[in-house]
Amino acid sequence: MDDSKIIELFYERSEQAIVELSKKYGDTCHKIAFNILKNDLDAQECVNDTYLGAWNNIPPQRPNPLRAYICRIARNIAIKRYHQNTAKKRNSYYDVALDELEDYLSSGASVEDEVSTAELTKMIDDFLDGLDKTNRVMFVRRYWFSESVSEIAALFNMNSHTVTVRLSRTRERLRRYLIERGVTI
Amino acid sequence: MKREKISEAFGNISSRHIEEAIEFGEKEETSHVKRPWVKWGTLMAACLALVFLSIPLVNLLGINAPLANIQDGTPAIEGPLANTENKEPGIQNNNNPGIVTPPENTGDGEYGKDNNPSTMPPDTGSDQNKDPGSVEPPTVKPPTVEYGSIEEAHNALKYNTLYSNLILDESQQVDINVLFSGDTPDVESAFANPQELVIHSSYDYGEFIDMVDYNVLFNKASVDDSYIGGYVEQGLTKEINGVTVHYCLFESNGRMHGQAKFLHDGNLYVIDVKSSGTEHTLDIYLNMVLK
Repeated sequence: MDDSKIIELFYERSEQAIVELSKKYGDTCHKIAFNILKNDLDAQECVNDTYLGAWNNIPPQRPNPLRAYICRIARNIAIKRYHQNTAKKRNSYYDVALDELEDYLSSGASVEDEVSTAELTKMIDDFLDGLDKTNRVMFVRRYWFSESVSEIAALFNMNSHTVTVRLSRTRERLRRYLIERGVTI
Repeated sequence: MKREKISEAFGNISSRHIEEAIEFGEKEETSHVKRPWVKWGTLMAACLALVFLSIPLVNLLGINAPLANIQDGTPAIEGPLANTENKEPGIQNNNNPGIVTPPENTGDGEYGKDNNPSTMPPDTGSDQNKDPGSVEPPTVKPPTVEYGSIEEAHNALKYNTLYSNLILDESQQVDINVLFSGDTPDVESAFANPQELVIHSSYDYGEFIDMVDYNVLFNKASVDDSYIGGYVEQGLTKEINGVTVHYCLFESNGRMHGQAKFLHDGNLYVIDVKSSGTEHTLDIYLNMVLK
């Protein structure tokens, strides 16, 4: 079913909207949540919360593209759940991905003192636009979807080491990119 | 807070990047999905093409095409090859050199011929060595399962390897995979037959980085196994805690490269270390495993 039709069902407050959303994007949402939580039950609960989030937000929102919108909800819920689950203990998946980024973006002075989140997002967006497609997709799949290096390697038909090196170079490029734009790193 | 900030900023990136990443995955997964009919279809098409291409070749060699003589009932093959035993029209003669036969199995597909243990897939049987006409039980693609920790992998294997006490650098990316057999008729049997545990890890010492691969090949009860064929075999041996370790040390591409293999409990262990430093560090990891 087309995304527009699914959104229409949401607007009609038809529960079929959830059914169709689940059919179309349930697996993708589950994968995102699972990548972060590494727990099937938790991931499934996140997916259900994602549907609820969509139900509560559509209407008034009319997201386009719907898929990215749903994925974003799933990711946010999964991260929230992750923080609840691991208030003290650190998860070795999501944290590892975040650590990799932080290693390049951290400094004595907090990033938040320098730029707002929105500004930082805009800079990251612009940086991603400047990358070639392979490196960009790799970067997004690693740090947005929290996919493992081996999954990405399989997707790109490369070995894990190559992916690790590419990601490392891209992080370094991001670091330099942000420094050039006045972000204290 | 800094971490959350970075996470939040990155989490808010444009939908177009998210869409692109998803679409790329879908496209690639579609193109990489192994469909049995594609494999067999390709093979059959290749065979048919060879048969059809061989007909003009046979004519060029002065042989009458067998099918051309069906109507008048004359012997199918004349000329230099006419003394073959099968004269019946329309029946393929296996002795006819004009018909291309599949190449013989050279045995090169043997497991363990690859020089690089980290990239070598388990032997699933080489398609090109199979008779396309024969019916064989279907085999499944070797499942590779990634685990979050060595403990998880051990639980899945229901067996503890010597890597139980391994200390990994948690600041570095670690991949822990188990390769299960692909030479089985179904996935259930595949998972009952683990072939290899592979741990890709690295250790950041500040001044240098070690990339360390830990492997266990299950039921490979020979250190002569060609699994690490291609590496410099220096024949170095030493005993650590009663275990005989065969190892080699050399420099490759500016890196200090060391590799050790030893048997334990009927399984072949391989530890491969590439260090960006100036000294070999293989012993650090060997001692960690065999302490």
